Amino acid sequence: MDSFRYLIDGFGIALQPVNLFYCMVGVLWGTVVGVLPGLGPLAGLALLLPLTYQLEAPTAIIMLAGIFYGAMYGGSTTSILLKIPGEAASVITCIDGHEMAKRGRAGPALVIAAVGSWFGGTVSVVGLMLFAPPLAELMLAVGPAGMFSLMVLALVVMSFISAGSALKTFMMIMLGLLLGTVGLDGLTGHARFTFGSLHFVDGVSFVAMAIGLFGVSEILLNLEDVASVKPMRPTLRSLVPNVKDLRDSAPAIGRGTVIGFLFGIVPGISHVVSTFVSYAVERKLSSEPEAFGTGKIEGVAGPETANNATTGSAMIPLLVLGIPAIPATAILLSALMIHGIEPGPQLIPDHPEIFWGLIASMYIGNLILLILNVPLVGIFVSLLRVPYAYLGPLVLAVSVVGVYSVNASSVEIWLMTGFGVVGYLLRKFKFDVAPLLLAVVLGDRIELSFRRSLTISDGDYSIFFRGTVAQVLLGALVFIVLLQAVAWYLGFRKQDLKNVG
Amino acid sequence: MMRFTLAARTGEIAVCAVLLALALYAGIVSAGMPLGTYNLPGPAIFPLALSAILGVGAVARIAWLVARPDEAPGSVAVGHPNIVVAVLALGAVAFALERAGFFLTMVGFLALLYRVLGRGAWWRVALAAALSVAGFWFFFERVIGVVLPRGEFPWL
Repeated sequence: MDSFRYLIDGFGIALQPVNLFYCMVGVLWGTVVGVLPGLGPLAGLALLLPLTYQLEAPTAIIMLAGIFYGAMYGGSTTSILLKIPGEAASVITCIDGHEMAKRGRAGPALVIAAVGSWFGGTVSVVGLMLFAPPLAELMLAVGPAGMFSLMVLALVVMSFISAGSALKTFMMIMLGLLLGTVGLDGLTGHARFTFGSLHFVDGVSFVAMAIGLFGVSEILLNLEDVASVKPMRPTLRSLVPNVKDLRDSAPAIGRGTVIGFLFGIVPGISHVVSTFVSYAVERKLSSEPEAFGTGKIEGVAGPETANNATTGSAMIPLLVLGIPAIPATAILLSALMIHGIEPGPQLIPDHPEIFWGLIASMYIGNLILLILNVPLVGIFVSLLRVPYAYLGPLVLAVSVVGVYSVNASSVEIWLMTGFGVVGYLLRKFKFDVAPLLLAVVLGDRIELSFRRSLTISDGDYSIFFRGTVAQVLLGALVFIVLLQAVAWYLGFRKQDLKNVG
Repeated sequence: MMRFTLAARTGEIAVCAVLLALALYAGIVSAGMPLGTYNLPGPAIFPLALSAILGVGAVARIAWLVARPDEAPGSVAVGHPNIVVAVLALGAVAFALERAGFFLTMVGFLALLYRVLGRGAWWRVALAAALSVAGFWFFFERVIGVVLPRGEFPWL
């Protein structure tokens, strides 16, 4: 009953004109970055993060969350119409979505993707609303030692399930944690790696780093091939799905919701993984699995629902534990901290206006997206007609203004450019930069919780093994590392035997 | 210009070598910070441990790539002229923004990139850049309230 009352209060906040306006700005910008190939939710969030400095905390979070789930909607449009995934989570939609478009059925594919996204996104917000408060109460009992183990577990899980080599991801995490140590030490005030400059006393600018690593590097990669694309434009009449489409996609939407919600809690690239799992499940359960890849609507409905269903559950670790499960929520975390709000178990009791305002805004935002995405699909697609020769420089200019506005200092632009080049090179050689950013956000907090635990226990290291939570987390950590070691060894042996053979 | 192609394996080794150098540097600098005690670690311990792990990781990856030539196949082209121009232009913006002000700097930046990437006539790219910057100024300064630098030319 309390939740219901809080939710009503949340709607009171979300429906304030200023919050409604920024929610619309967020979902529209999210859809735009989702539609534009090469700009994903991360770049979209990073680019608008500096603008939130001028806003109240609830408004800022409402807008940024809108970008996050808006991008998940937008990604499907280009996948279906052009076979160009707007962002990573829409890769799998290209397979059947574009096949449907080639057969003149782009409309139903787009509508089912939008309806599935709305359903998955909304149900996942219900899940967030139901699970987050009791989980936060439970987590209040966990001290710094438990939080330390939890954050280490999150990073270890991410290093194993991220794209590409686990060792390379692990190195990126270490580099991120190391970058996180720049600035004044949180306990003693000792300056670390500041080079005697005041610019680094508070650490390396997170905004410059995020925009550089994701926004600028993305543009630089795209500048290698300034290609023009010719999208299909479905008419409004062709958008209506038939009864068979609805019947076929309904179960896939249901399953995609469950898969997406469950995967959203896992740290790493859960929104991408959930789409692949959903596709595999749909294919496995289908009476005609061989038809997948030729334009099956379940191949669009399941994955598109799953990637949006991760958006609500990905907020659970962020809002309840203060741990971002994916890089996009790391930017939300940084926005909360910029406004002086410490995410974690205390967030819901201390700042109910943020939590419930966000929940209510997600219901509204998902509905706005459904209303916008179907009739306005033509307008979003026409964005692709703006030549990249103009779009790329414009995005760079937005980055410059955004990053400059943080401290009104050109140093931020130098840093952004530097991180842009570093991000470009790392991505060229297939180093995943997302874990780096996540580690930067967590680095300071991991170290502080480690050292605070030792201060509390008077230097007794057994504090990390005491209590059920710590033991469960450490057990999980050891299990995952051992599992990965065995898998790596078996793979290595298999490859060696093949080479010998 | 600066465009060159190198084997993906070589490039990856180079990245790992840079990470190793960074780890060594961070390790040496951390060693000069207060170490604290075993029971109550000081500000040096965390960066020192991270440097060591990063260094070991980089060495392990380099050794792996050297021992297995079939790892990381293919080649990678880096430094496309468009990218070089964009990076240099961003550097120029960082240098000029507070001196020449927002309007002149950004018009120059956008006109250059529009011209290099889009190959339009100079007058057209200059006009497009000026209109874009006017739009930026209206949105950022008037709507959002961001104070943009005027530089030495406050009337602009």
